[in-house]
Amino acid sequence: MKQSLIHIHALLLMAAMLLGAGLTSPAMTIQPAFGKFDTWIKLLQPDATRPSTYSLLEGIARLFNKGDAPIAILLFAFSVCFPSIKLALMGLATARVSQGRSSGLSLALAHHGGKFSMLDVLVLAMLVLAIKGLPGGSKIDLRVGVWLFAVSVAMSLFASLLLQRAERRARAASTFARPS
Amino acid sequence: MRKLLTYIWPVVLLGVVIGAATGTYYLIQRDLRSLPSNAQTLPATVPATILVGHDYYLWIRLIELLPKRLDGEPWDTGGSGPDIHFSLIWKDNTIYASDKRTDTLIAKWDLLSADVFDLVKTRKIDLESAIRMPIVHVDAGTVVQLNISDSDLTKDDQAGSIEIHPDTLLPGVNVLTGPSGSAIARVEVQAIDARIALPDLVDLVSKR
Repeated sequence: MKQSLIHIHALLLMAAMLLGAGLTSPAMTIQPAFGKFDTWIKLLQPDATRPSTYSLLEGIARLFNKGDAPIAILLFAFSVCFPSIKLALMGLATARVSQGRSSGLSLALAHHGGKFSMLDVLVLAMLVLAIKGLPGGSKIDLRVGVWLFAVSVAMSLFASLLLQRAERRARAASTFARPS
Repeated sequence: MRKLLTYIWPVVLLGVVIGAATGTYYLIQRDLRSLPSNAQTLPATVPATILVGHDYYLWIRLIELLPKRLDGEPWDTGGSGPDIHFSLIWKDNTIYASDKRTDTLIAKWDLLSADVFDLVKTRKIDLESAIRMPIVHVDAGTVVQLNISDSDLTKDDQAGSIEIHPDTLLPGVNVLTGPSGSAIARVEVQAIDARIALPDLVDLVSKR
């Protein structure tokens, strides 16, 4: 039981590190292309043809600066706030269970909130599909930031399942130990 | 104490998220700063070194002159800057004479230059004629002389000359300093393999 909780703590720490790194690492590179006009566009407007790389946070900041504040706020909430708060709640729940108490509302909140954490990955996936379908050969490459973010979300989901199991075991053990 | 321990974990985890994000951002920015700002990578189809026995376009990218003429006088009456132009001499032949850049101490030239009116009129362009730099055959000991002048109404003022040894040039932009006794501050020159593919040439030109 104690070992299981240590594993959960370790998982949460790794998920937190990967989440932080994933938010500021390069997440995608957009390589614009203009089909048969590529050469001329390169000559006349070279800036338009240069590949640009964004991290998740840079992408959100760019959306905000470009006037898409509602989408930027939505993405910030689901890709930065939700996963971070979820990890904090799970840390709280793990600490409570390790002290022999019930995880209380924190684990339930974390479990439900976690479902929204993958939204960002979903948005990126849709963006990739959308841009891959554009004419002219423009393409988008996913970079390490997306994978770090996705692994962090997956690890926190796994930690959540482990914690639920650990709590059930602790509850069962205390039921058996209680004198009749 | 027990209650305090309960709340340490969420704080630690949030701290790790912020710390990892800040650390990663710092490392990435440091890596970006360590890259030279004018880093140029040669296209894959071009050999990484200047090959003796091959033809090269000799691109004079930039010329900077000293603030005063050789005799210590200002370049132009009225205090305006020099009208810089240059010529390239190879095997005792003038193989290229540039357009002039007016009233400037730093002048740049593009490798490609198209006549837009001609382009619109004919809807086609001959790339070879759009390349505005000479082609030279690079052998060991090849010398190309670069003469730089300030164009004036009456007569041109000589800013100085530099001998370019194409076989000693490095891939990418080479910065040559003016010889003593000249009014040349620096010259940026690049040798480009004449077999370069059009898309690679355009890539090079777009990295100004």
